[in-house]
Amino acid sequence: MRFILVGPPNSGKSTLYNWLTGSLAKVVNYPGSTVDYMTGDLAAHWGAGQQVQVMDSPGTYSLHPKSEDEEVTLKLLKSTDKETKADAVIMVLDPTQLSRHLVLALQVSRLGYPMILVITMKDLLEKQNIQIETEVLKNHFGAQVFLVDGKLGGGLEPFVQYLKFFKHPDHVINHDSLATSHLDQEIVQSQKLSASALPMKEKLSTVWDHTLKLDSFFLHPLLGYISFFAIMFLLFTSVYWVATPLMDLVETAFSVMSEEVLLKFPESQFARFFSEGIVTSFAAVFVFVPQIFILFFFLSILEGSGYLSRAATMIDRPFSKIGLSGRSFVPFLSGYACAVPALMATRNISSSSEKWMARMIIPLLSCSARLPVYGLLLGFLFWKSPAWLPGLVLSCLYILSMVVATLAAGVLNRFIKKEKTSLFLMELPLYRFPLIRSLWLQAWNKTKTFLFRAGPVIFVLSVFLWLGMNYPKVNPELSDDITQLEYSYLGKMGQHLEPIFEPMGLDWRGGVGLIAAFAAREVFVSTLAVLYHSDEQAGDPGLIEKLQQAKNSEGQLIFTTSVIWGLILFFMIALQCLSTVGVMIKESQSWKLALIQLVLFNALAYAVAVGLVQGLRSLGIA
Amino acid sequence: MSNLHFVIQKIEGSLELQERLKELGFFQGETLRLVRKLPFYGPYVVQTNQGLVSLRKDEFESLGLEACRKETP
Repeated sequence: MRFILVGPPNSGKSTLYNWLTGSLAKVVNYPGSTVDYMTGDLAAHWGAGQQVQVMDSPGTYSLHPKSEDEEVTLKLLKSTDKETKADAVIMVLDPTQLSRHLVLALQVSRLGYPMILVITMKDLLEKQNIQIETEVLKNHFGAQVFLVDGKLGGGLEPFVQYLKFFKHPDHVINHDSLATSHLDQEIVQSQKLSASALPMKEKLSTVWDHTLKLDSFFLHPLLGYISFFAIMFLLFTSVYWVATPLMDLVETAFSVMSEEVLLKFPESQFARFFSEGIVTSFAAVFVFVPQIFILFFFLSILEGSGYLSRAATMIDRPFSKIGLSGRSFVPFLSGYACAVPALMATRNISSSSEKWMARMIIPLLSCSARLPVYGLLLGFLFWKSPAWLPGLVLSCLYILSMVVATLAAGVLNRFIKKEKTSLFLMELPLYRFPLIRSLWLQAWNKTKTFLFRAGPVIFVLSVFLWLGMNYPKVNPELSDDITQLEYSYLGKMGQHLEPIFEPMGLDWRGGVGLIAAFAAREVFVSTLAVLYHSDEQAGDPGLIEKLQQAKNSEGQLIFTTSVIWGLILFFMIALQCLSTVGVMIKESQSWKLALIQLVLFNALAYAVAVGLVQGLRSLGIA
Repeated sequence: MSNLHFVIQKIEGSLELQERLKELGFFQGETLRLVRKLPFYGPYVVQTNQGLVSLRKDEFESLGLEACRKETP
């Protein structure tokens, strides 16, 4: 038996889906967070019964879709494909907005599906002592009605038992019902139904009191903008200063591991490979895991609190000047975590020109994969400085990436033919305290994804790099480590490529690092760690010290201020993520566009980096 | 914080806009409260019986409104 969860945006579908399936689907407090469907089996802990599968669909206000994500829900409801065809609909309704949520319920019921109604926020109704006349809804829809508390799971047990033994008569989907659907009539009907089902609805208006008080601050013409910038600033600086002690711990652990291995097996070639190849690579990247966890944790707080819709409201006017709307803000902020979900989140933008533009510029936003690279480069620039200083500069880099993306949007806006003005209209949800457990799980889930994505790539590359650096072997009695490296396979290949990277101030090892970063940006750090390996200490400080001393074939220091800033700008602009290219092809349905984006961004990144390095050098800045 | 109350007399604009306004609870005869106007012609924040919504100036102006009472905060 397959059930599909249907409901307006932010009604609690994904929360319910997580409770039912034990999944960790992203749950956020703003409309339009789910842009694709998900399928999961009823979690084993709910006990035996018939096999139950649950599909979570993107929220929609009605069955007359106005954006791509809403179209997904309609397609699922009309599906006759055995992979996606639902047997029954679980209609999720928010009691604080019952009247308009019932409009969708009326439309779905006319399609002919067997239905079950789930009213969320049971806790809130009990707190306000508000009764819902469930019999009214039950009689009208011929469906069982359940009240559940999405936060703590209250009321779920009888609902799940009902799903496990749910029987339904055969049904035929009435596709014609959509053609004859009349919104005005459905509104009148839903208002009557809501008035009967929720006679005490006046009491519900008090639930908005605390939200309105908070909004008098967060949407204040002056204080609102000050708090917006303060929140963004705190978000990005905290990534640095909160994470520093944890990073020290990770680094020490890897250091001890590396030293122990070499001490125990001083003669073993495999121990050298393990210590200098594997441990050094992983240490260089995994030392940034605390920063990534903290970034996701703080982003989850913003997403779960309801603040994002307010931020989108405030940013709408400036964004409209460059052809975007406040609706692009949420995908933009997601882009700071990862461009892949951010590109998918553009589906809830109704205007296709705005959607196209958002997709073009999202890869310019500094995602979490750039964090290890920025961490290393800023660590180099602000070596031995107090942690707040690189934190402040990191914050500025995030803002700078937004500025670069905005400028790119401004340029694109001049060339795009706009077919219509996009709608902004955005619901502002109640402010809520996100559950710590949920924040923790979401941040951990994302961090795990980072580890599992980067881990295998780092492992494979470190094996190849180490072998490439150490073979063919030069007689150790006649040569030192540097000679070995220059005569190795990797050294010879890198020397052929050196003229390309030389204008950026890099030697062949830096060039190999940049090429390796196309597998995953963070691999740049692990590759440098192997190529400029530090044998006395694995991890970040050892690597920075090595980079500070690294010299090119002419005996000049490689990593100077101008080169580091060139690299920062290169990584800010370059598109080095194959997953992003893949999603871009899927979302835009255009190989050509994805290819143009790939070539354009990388050429621009190279030109800007070369221009900056040469420009600074001509000004006397090494 | 503004505290102007209006009754929605009619809904104008494109069909898409009209439908979306209705789906968000802007029904004819409903009362709404103008909570906030953001500076520099930014969005308006309004409260209906169905919740809080922010909408652009031109979207707000597509609502035919009649002031019903004015209260001091």
